[in-house]
Amino acid sequence: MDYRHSPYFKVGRASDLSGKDRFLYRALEILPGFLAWGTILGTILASFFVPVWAAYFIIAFDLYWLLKNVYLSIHLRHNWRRIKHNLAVDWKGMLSNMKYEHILHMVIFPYYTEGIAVVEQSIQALTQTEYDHKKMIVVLAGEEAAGNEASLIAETMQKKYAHVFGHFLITKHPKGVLGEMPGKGSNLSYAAEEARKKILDPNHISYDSVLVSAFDIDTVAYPKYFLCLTWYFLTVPDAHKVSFQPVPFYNNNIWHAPALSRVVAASSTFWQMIQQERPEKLATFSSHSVLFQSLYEIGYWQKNMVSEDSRIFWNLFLARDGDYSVVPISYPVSMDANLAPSFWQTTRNIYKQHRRWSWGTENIPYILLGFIKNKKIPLYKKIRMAFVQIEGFWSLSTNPLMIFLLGWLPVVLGGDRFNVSVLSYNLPFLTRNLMIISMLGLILTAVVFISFLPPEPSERKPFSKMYMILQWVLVPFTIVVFGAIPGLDAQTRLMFGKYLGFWVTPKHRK
Amino acid sequence: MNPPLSIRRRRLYLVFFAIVFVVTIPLLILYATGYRLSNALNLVRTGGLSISVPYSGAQVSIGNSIIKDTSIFQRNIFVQNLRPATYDIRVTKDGLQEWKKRLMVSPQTVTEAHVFLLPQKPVLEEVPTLLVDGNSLEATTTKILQKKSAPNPQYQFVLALFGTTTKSITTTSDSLKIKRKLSVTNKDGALHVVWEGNVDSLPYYFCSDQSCKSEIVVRALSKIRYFDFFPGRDDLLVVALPDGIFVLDIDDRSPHNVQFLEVAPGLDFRIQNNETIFIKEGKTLRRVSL
Repeated sequence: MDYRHSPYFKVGRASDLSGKDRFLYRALEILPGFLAWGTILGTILASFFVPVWAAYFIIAFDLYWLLKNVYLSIHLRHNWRRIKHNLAVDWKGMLSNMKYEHILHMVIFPYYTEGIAVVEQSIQALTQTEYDHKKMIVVLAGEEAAGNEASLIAETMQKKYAHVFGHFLITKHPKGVLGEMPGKGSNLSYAAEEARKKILDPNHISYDSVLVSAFDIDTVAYPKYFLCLTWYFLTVPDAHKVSFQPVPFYNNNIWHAPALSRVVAASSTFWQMIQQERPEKLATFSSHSVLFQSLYEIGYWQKNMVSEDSRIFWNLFLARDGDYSVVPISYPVSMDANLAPSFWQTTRNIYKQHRRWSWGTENIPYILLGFIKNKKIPLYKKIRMAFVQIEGFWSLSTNPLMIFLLGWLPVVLGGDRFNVSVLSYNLPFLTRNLMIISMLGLILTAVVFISFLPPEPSERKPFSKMYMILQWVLVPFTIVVFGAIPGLDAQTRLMFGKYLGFWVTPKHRK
Repeated sequence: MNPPLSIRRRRLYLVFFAIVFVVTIPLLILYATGYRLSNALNLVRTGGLSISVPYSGAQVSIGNSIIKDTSIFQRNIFVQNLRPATYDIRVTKDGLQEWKKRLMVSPQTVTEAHVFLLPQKPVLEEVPTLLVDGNSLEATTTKILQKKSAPNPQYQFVLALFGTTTKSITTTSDSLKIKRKLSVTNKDGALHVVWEGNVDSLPYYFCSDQSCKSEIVVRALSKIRYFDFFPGRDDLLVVALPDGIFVLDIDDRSPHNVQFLEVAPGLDFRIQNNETIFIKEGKTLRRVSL
């Protein structure tokens, strides 16, 4: 049986299943939290009962962390060069010998209560892209629950910009639909289906020639984005078997965001840049593009869960029996860094946003169940993908804690006998020194960050560029507070069945 | 077009870093546990010394080598890479009495020592028997303004300490004193120090060369008449000997460090609230300013 027709294909949580499957799914939901807490508690217990072995483990872990940082820095550096190259490429020239006039770009902007400035910036950016705007379909996907103000914004945008594009559609996702979770997934799916019924079918547009870009409402496309995307689309062996992933920069408001927000946002960018060099480990994230035909075949984005951006990749991966991947286009789109009227609100929003991103751990039970149920996926692929995903979420929630907080545990808990050993005295020194060497990699990150900054606004204070360098000292703090802790928070909630709902990151402009 | 890093290159990097990891880990662990290469390129086990010096500007020497001067930021000196042997440690500071210890360093173990340095000329402030007119003197608990030639209540209070068995958090009687889980008993002029707590948390000075004992006997050249714990320290004792008041460490891994507070026959002392040492000579009471 085709896996997309199985009862497991669009499962959102254990309660969507019954019998043994429900039990299995629940166990798989517990797995990420169990591994994370097992590691943390195991380190604490080992530090108490077998401090010598705990110290050996911590030294090995510190070295692993250092080498991993160097290894990932190589990927970052390579992707940095690739993005710079792609930003400079003459994509129109690259496409000149190709037939691409038939390709339409459908850009869906799901939005909720964001202000007109945010919505307009994104749509205006589309008008400045170097693709034939008449070959573009813009879908402004609102929510009924957002009220009249959101509708007014959509109508204003339509009046102002509809004539620029081939098609401009406003959709309003109805509230309270049974079986749906309010959020981006259900809104995107509704919008895509509306676009099919109201634009594609009436105009006899082939689903195979429409490339859908699901953009967050703050996504600002760079001028050559759609040319670049078209080139990748035309050069992949089979566009039905891939999604396209740009690199999210958080540059829209970077000069106004506080240092904490800048560092966290840039860290997310760097992680995506690193993943762009490891396509087999890449799943779609945030703004991404995919062929309409592929979406249509699987019934679009899942409507009953939070992390629709990555889940759409796993839906397609399982539907195509593992023959599906992400093409990293190494071309940026720009989005908003977290910014709220006050510093504390910004801090709280960063935490909540990262907890929502970490909630992507809800994909683990979905993927593992899919691997168990779909026998057509090669075993080696299942093992590799499962390991990559589990290790990824485990690292996110445990590694920073192990490095920055738990490294001294054997000294604290190991007892007097351990504390008079040379090992006990050397452990803090070794840990500290390995961390300092690891932190040298931040020099590269600072250079990369500076190189992609938009022009500095004239009203900025003196030395603001210097702060953009100094801010990197915050990394040990940010990866614990906005990496490990929200990661652990999300995994713990999933472990106890306290499911998160969709939380819309507020967009504020100064 | 500029493609992503090839799988082959990434695998090469991965293998390289895996090799670095596998090779480095044993070396790091050997280093951390005290193994070092000898001049003959043999792997030898070393130990270390940790000397806690609660004073900045003190000079720490091992043998004839000056190891380090302490500072506000670094008062704990850790010396490693020491071959198992016995080392003479000396800590000096201008104006303070010298501290010396001979300690054995065992392989893969850090031998600890806590230094104390008393002034070469301890400052002793006399507690007046009478109050002078207009002076305000702070008594133990209340501030009292006294009139001309009135008896000093503080003097009376301190004098009373010498008249009766002292009562404080740390003492139980003149011949038995307990601080935390250390009990010290004066048996015929010798102090018997016993650890009453868990063996796992035995104070470092009960152990030497990886063996520990349950009791330390502290003897002086003459009988100890009276003793108490030095304020703020549970590894030091203040003792009254026939020729003066001295401070000595319980640590008997090498001869006790003995430093004087005041040298004169017939002195006695008491410690108030584990804070202040008072020395009595005849009817004169003096407060030791530490």
